[in-house]
Amino acid sequence: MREKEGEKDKVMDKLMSLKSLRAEIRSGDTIVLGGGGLVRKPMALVEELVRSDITDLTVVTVLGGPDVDLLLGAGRVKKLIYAYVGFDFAGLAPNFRRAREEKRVEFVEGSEYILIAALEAGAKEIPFMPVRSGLGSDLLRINPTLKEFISPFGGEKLVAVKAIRPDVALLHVNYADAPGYGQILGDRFLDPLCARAAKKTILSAEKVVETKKIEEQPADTAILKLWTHGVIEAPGGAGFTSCYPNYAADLSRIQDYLEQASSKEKFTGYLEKNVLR
Amino acid sequence: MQKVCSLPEAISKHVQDGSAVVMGCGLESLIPFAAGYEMIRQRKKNLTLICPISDMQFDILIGAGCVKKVIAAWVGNVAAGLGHNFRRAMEEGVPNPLEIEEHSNFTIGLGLKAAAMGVSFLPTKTVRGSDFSASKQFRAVRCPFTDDELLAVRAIVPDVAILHVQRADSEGNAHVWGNLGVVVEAARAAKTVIVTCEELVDHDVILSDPNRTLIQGFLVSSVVHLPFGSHPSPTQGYARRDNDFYFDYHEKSRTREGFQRWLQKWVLDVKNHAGYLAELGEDRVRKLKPEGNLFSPPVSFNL
Repeated sequence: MREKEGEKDKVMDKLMSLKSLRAEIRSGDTIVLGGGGLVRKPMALVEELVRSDITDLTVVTVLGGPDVDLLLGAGRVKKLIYAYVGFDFAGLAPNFRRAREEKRVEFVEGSEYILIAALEAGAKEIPFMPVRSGLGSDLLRINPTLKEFISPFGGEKLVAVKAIRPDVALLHVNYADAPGYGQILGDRFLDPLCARAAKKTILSAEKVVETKKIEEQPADTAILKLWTHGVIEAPGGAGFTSCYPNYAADLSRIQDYLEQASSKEKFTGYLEKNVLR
Repeated sequence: MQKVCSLPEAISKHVQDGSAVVMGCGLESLIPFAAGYEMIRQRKKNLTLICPISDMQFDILIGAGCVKKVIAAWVGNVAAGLGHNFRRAMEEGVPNPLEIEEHSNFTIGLGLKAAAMGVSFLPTKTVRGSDFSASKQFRAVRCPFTDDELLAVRAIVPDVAILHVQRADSEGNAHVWGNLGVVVEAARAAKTVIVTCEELVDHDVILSDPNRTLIQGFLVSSVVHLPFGSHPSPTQGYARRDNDFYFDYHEKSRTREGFQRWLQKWVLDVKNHAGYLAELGEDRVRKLKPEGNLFSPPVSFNL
């Protein structure tokens, strides 16, 4: 990242290379991943993480997919806070399942709404968010980030969801500009919330465009520049997940991944061939 | 279910004496003035009005004697200055005394959001250390995890939200754009929603741009086709702000008698919204329409 010097009203230029992502994340960090299931996952950024030696991550995801599965399969996750990890219509996430069964990773399970509430509290910089979600469910027993409490108004029983303030959010968007505006043309999922909650947001974009192009379609701007720390141009950056309207999910590559991830040994080969190369 | 109806029908059906009504949620734009005028014509009483800033709409309703309580951060006439009726009510109890639940803009948003989430409060760091933190809509709450003390903002649950939008279909699915204020929070917080719209469109138009459907039909009870229903406030793409109208009101409402004459002319004598627009005159209405269009390029939803 660099700043253009000289001008009084200089514009921040947040463009960076994919490789320089490694310097932005430290082992032990908490990261949150955008997109949902098999849609607009930040695969280029996650693969770059796997090529680095960054490890012991706490990964937060509302709707995890191959992004989370890849990090688990590569052994980079210490703790996973999630509502869902899977391949949507294509089936279960193999590395997630193995890690869950072997209990190699600490898992904190919530509902989608509980994850949203946790990130919203993080975004507002308050330590918790009150919700009704989870009441009467076993989540209160198995999830240490939830506590029942009594509302100061009316004595209502509510659930306090502990705030999550990730160190880094990794998001893939359609368009971004150098100052850090990000535009998403399809479903935004929780990406704007992830960006607000995280201390540092890094965008990969199908295309880096001039700010003028961003301004033509203000309603598509999902990510504001004040949330953005770095912008990486990465065409095809959602990998085999879909990035509407640029490309649909690549079913044959998804099937190949699921096959390669069916055993630890095969997956090592997959990583060698497809990610570490 | 037939939701499309006339403005008098919607107001008489959903706004009762004593109702808590949130309106003016788009802050300085999209204020449903026409609906407010109709509430006056129907002689609604003892209303609780809710909004962050109401511009001069609350001042008019207060002067007309419709209001018992105001839940707001600010009441006045944004461009022109004070709200004279609000001031008379607070200082002299004319036409009647008002109860005030004072908020910041942000805590109104939090109160509505709490209601939208179905919880009795939301915690925040704002307001603490200020003089109105002791008011009864705020209480201290401790974080069950960190033991930090925060301010709990009590949920604000309106009986009715009245929201002016650019376009809606007959089920109340609404496209709204420009400054949104707390429109989305209010639509979800209120027990009933009345949508007034510049254009009543086919469902296909709504489906063509799902990301702009910020109010969903299942929240909405009545839909009123009401072009220029936000006058004198602006509706982006359809109506500009009628600044002169605000300044004229400000002058006329300086005295109680002046306000009563204003009310007679612009609300009581005109009988309905069509009469109001006729009183404005074709020329003035035409001049308030934006000159030309400033379209965003079309978005393809093909896949």
